[in-house]
Amino acid sequence: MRTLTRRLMSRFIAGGVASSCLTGLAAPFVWAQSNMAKLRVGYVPVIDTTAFFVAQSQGFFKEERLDVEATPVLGGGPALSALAAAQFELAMATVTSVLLGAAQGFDFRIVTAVAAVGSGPPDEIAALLVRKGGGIKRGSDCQGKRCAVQLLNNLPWLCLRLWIDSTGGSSSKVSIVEVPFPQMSDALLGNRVDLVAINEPFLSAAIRNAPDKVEIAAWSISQTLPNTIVASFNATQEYLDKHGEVVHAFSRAYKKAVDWTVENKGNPVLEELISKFTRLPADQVRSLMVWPKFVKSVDPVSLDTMARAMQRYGLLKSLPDSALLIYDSARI
Amino acid sequence: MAEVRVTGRFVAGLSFIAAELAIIEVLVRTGWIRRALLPPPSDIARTLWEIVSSGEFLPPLASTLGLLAIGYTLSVMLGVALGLVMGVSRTCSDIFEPLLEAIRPIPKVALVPVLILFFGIDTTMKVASVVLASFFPVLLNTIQGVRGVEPTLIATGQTFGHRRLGIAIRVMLPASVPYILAGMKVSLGIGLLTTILAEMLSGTGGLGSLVLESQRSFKVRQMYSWLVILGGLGLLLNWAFAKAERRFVPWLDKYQKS
Repeated sequence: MRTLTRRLMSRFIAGGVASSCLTGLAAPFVWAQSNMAKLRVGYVPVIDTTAFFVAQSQGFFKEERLDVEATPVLGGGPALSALAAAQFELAMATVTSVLLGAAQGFDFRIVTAVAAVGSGPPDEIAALLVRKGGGIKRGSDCQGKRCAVQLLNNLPWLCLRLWIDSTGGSSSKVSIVEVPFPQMSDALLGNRVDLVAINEPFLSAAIRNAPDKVEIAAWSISQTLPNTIVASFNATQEYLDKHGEVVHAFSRAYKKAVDWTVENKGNPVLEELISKFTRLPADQVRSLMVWPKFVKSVDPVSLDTMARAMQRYGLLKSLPDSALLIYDSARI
Repeated sequence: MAEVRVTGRFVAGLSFIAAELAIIEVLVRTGWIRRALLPPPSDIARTLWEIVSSGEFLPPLASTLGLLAIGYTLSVMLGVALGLVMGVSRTCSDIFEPLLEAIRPIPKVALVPVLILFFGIDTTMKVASVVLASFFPVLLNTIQGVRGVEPTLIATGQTFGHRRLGIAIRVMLPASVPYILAGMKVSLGIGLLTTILAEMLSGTGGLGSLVLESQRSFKVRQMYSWLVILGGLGLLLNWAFAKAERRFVPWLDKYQKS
């Protein structure tokens, strides 16, 4: 009995020493992990988000001591709603959604730029696609026709109306309906709609699958709102007041990722990464017709242009203070 | 005495709702609940009044009701017709039942994206969604009602010289009315739910698309106002159904109590 007790005691002591050693070995990792700022980020799994995933995969967030937990969401609207409900610390959205939310009293602030368009392809993300021989070349040809956008009262809808009105048509006399991106090609070819405002990668897929049946009537955004910021990562002012330094760290890592992305365009590593988070086959990524322009800052003038267009079509009653909407980390 | 009891319960229920709204009003105004997420009920009431007094609610309400009426009517007609046939004929039941049992467990709202692929985003898709969702409760209840008709009634019908079709229409169908009505009541709720969902997914008018549009534009007061209108519509439909039941089937109350 005495031997058994002694054996048992020595086993306990050995176990205690072993676990202490293991804890000691693990301690630096645990300490490092607990010393990192946790960020829950809502993102939309589209090509615009490339730099975010570059920052993840290249370790730029870790270098800034950020533990980023990324959650995909269906769109910018739901992402911002989740941000308002404090489910995320940062959320990606189109700037139209941010401006709409700010106009309704939500304290959203732009903390980094995500994507912009240039003055034409390849710095573009969307096009207005029509049937070949359908007779639509300008806005004036859209009278009495049916056009489809993914979401009403958002950026594609806004750009469509701008294009129609600036090319001889009257957008108030055109029927605009919602069709999800994956179904736009079928709706167009099936004559259910006459024009679709379609984003990549669905644009390239539609043209690849029916090159003799569809054609591009116009480039959605770059022809109507050239050199404009399209999407951004956003936070609430309430979060920024308490954790501004965390957001600055995120911004530094993100800007590094933008540089890496721009330098590595065409690199198979980048294509594989995009393929992984968008779930597009790599060959489809390679054959995209247009790409968003990855930028590091938000110009208030660009935001004002967007806001004026939104006001013109009744989305905003008054123009917001763009300078107030852009946080330090996103300024030029 | 019974009337006083009913009125008392009604007042108690209303008072509870009023008390809840008052508490929410205080919590929002004192900052315990974020205003951006839940505006004070008084602000929502003001926006609701603007929507109602301007008549802004009428076109989307008409659109939703019209869609529901068409889909619901079709689903009741199809459900009762097929239910009667399957209830009376063993052969028809053997033919149709396996397919219906395979489709029945699928949540019909999950089929709306599939219907969009086949029918697009117009009225046809929405009506098809409502019919598909509302059809099954009516069908199953009709089958159950028809199969549960007392043999005495059937024998009485035969005594009066009715053949199979006559018995089905003049004896079995009227005798199944309590079951059919129960199925129709369930279908009405499902039909309204599916109508709203189809409107949300297609984004082409109606109360459902307005709720979503308000949410996307962060117009929170408008969103809650449309939800109140939706809730009111549901209450109104229930009341109208109960009223129609009492009017057209006055014997039902006695039947259900017996």
